Amino acid sequence: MLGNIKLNDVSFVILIAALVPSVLVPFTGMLYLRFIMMYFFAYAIYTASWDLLYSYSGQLSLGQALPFGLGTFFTIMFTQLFQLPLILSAVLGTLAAAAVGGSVGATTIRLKPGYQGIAILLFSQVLYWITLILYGEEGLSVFSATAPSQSTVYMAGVLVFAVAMFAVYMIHHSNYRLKLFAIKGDNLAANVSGINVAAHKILVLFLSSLIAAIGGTYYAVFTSHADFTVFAVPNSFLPIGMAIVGGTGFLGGTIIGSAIITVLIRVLPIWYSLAITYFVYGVVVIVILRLRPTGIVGLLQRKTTKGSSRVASG
Amino acid sequence: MSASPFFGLYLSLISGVSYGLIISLLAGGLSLIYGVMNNVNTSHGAFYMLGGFLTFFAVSSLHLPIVVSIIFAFASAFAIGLVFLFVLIPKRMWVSSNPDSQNTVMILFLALAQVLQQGVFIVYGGGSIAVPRISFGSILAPGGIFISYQTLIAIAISLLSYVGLFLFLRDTKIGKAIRAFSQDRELAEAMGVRVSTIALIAFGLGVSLAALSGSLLSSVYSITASTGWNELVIAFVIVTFGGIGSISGSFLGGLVYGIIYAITQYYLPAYSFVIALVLIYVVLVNKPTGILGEIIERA
Repeated sequence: MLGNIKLNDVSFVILIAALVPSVLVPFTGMLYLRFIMMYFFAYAIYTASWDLLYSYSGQLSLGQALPFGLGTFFTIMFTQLFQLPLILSAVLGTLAAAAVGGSVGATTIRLKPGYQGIAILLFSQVLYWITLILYGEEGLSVFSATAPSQSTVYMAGVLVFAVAMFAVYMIHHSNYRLKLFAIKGDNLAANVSGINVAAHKILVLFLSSLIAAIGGTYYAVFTSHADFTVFAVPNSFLPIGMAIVGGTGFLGGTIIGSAIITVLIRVLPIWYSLAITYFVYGVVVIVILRLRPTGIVGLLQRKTTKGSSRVASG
Repeated sequence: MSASPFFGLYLSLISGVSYGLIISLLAGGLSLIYGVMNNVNTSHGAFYMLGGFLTFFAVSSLHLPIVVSIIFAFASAFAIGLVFLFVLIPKRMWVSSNPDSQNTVMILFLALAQVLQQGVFIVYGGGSIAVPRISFGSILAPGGIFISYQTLIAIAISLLSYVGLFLFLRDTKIGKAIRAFSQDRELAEAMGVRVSTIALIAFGLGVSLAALSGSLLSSVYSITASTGWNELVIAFVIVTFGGIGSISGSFLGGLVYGIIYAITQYYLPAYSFVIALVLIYVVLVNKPTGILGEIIERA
């Protein structure tokens, strides 16, 4: 399995480059940086889940907030309403969110590609209203005297980020990816070649939901809060924009895009309103998609390839 | 004297027909765009919101009469739609059957929706706008219920819009070209139909219908800068229910949605949106091509 790791692969290099400073951040004493990094871990995992679905199986989800938000809500509900220990709540919350998210996604695979995205968005909007009706604008929060320290939560984030990203990296570099590419390229041809298209589409939906739920669960753990806004459309747009900015189809793109946008949406509001921040975010996504559709990592890879070609040609 | 048990149902039916007709304009626009361009306009809900705000702008800043303001919103949305289509979407992607291109267009429109919503938020803030009614007063209908003139006028405008759209598609040269293009792209192109012109008109008209829907409903329901996402989902459900690409399907789907929504609004107001969507979605899962088949409008 580890043979799939390529040490000179741009995505692997970026993953390691993200992990090393992440481990060092707690020693800097910069509390705000630590706070931003926790968002980065959750968003990077979230973005990887969307990109896995989009870039590899060709399924566009416009409601990825569904499994992410369910992960957040279930974890808080298990902790607060059922008084379960945090770790057990997180595990159960993740699994429950993946099961519901994957099941909902499975009902959409017969729809045309464009409409599948909106169908998932439909369920996300339904949950937006249900959670608003049930828990109001204030949502649910966890208040515990035995809550883990911020340092522990941070290091748990590093661990979850490393495991989730490594898992996605292994999927990206496995033979299974070829089946997904075949499905993405031509459903009919893949079916004729003996690939069970429906089963694999559903499997990827469950995998993507599981990864998004992991991100959502971690989000719940470090914010200790869940409310209806987690299902809002701008939250579903978040991983899409992050993947576009970094470059879809590359794990490195997911990481770079998440880092840039996390900094943008967490730092810009210090000086400007949230509306201006998200306006700028939308414009950035449009500009990148129009001018550099392969994103930042696509550009890096092109330069690397050009460099290698020059070396090869002497 | 106690009220008839069917009184509420009757009232909901009237309200549902009115709401359904207006919201079906929104769905009709989405359907028209998809039928011609083969692209899903994910910014459609934002144009619905923009319709409400353009009407509000015309009434409050330009001091235009309300009916002129509605026409202003319709025409402005057409122009704004064309500008965004030119600036944002590469011309080769205007009409495309390539899934990658379709996905790219959907994401670009989604980003546009975010930019439009945040832009309106920056200008007008997060509060709801109040657009004045076209007319006050009401008439007594059979069964002892009062129907406001506003409701009747909104129904009339919606029906007139449908008649106008129907005649446009049936009798004008451009309308015929749109229908021909929807039915067989290659043949239509071979006959001299210009893809870019057809796409521009279909997109402009589609987003104008969304704006008209928002404009008409802005005097009944509150509209804020964040309005539009529910409406996008509703339009999608109606379009898929009526048959993708079918204007008459959108009309029927809009009526069905409006009536279900109004009835659930009467009995279970908090969950009306959720119940209406889930009920229709259950039908869709079992019949993904919609109740009137799919793809091509045969006006």
